[in-house]
Amino acid sequence: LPEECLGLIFDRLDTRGRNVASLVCRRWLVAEANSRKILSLSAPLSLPVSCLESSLMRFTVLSKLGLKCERGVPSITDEGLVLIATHCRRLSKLKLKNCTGLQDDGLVAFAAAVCRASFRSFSCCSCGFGSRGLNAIIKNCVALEDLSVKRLRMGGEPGQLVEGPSKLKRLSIKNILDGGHAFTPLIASSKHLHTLIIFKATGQWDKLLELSVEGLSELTELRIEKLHLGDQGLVALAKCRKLQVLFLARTPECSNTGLSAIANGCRSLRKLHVDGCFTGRIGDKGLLTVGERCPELKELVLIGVSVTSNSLGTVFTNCMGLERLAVWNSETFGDGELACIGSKCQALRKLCIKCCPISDQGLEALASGCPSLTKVKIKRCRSVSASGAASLMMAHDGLVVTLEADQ
Amino acid sequence: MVKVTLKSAEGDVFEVDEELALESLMVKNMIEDVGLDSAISLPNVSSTILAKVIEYIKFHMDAQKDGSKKTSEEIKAFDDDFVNVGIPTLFEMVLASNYLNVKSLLSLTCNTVANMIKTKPPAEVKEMFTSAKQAKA
Repeated sequence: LPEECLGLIFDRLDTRGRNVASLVCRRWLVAEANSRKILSLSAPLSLPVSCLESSLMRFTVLSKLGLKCERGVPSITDEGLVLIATHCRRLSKLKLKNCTGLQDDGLVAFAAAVCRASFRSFSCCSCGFGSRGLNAIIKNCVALEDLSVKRLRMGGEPGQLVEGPSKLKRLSIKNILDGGHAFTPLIASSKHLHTLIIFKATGQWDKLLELSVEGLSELTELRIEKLHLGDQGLVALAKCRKLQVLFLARTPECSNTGLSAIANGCRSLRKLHVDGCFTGRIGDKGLLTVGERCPELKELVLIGVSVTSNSLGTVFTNCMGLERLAVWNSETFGDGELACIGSKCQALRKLCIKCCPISDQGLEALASGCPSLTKVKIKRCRSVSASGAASLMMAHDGLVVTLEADQ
Repeated sequence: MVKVTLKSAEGDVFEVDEELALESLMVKNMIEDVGLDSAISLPNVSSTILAKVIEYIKFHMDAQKDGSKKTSEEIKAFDDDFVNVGIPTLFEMVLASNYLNVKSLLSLTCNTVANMIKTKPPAEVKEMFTSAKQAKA
């Protein structure tokens, strides 16, 4: 077979299969190396530079490269980054994990040498560089679409990130323990951002979001977790009119007021996850606005939120397309709420209930409606018996019910 | 229905519907370039393999037509049976589908070869392919 066809065949193998294929004969070794696009390397300091270089030279069409190091083990140094930039001329994605040996200087040199037209995605976690190195990437890599930054120390000079490349579509910021504020100019300037993820980054996010989300008219997905963020921030976010997916978790200051503002502003919401952490600040009032304003809702997940049929009834009536519903740890979600689901949710396919005061009686009411139901999961609901779950399963063709008891 | 004449490496002539011939992007380009008047010669494809390729395209075109009663299981059974051939034939089909640019068949045959390689140690893969080569020679 010609190399072209061998390449097509190898593309259908996983990494292990490719490794095996490359050992079959010399011709296959070459053919495999010339067709491999994804490579993941372990990169401890003990890896000789010549070894890294020959790997990079062997795989000529590499497009995605990952370097990983064990935690606590010193990694390769800046020299490695320069080699990658010079040898991988088709590199589109670079992923670095636990490479503490990589410093700002290395990233600056990489950004200057990498092929700008092809480089689209950069992801780093627990590396030695900070804002100066990232700034070099942001400034030089004009085609960058995806940037993920996790567990970096942003402190030191000059601290703040510069305005971003205009093509940035996805930005993920996680576990930044000194200065989440460094990201505001980047967020504010990324007008084409589709997806924004912020987990556990320090800073007054109410202020930071007010300053940065104004122009994000393209934003469709937002995931926020463990942030110092309250209603003021949510009111600012409500200006992102195209928002379709919102995950809001562990932001104990947020209340019904903020959720209502989101519902009023973001009418195209399709997925909404709210983890209210038992503060009681989010409940029926906020959800009622969601029910009134967001008819496109397909997926609703409520954790630690006190909701009743007072608001859910409106949600179920107005959001005709609701397909997936999960309610966890809600003391107010009982049989009455199940009956409400049964009588109103025509499109519901999947339902998951955990740690809620429901019983067999509620399941019976559920069984009488919801013609589209295919999957029901019930976890740690003490008053639900196996026979209750079984009779729900019997009620519909093709319905699977799983019941997990208290562990 | 307009007919297209295809000529195999051995010079055998196959007359097929234009609709069927267009499934091969290579033939499609040829038709666009030189028209339908003369036979399209395919010097890289033997008669046996060309017949198989035509059989494959025909089956899938029929299966896609409205009113076709074929289930996805039946289609899969056909595909499985279709590639259940010796390695030399399978390789020739990879080559032919690559040359003729029939995407679905190329994908099917490449997947089949990949599945044969998967989970086997290098020595076994090598043996499998060299013995197939000798059998052919």
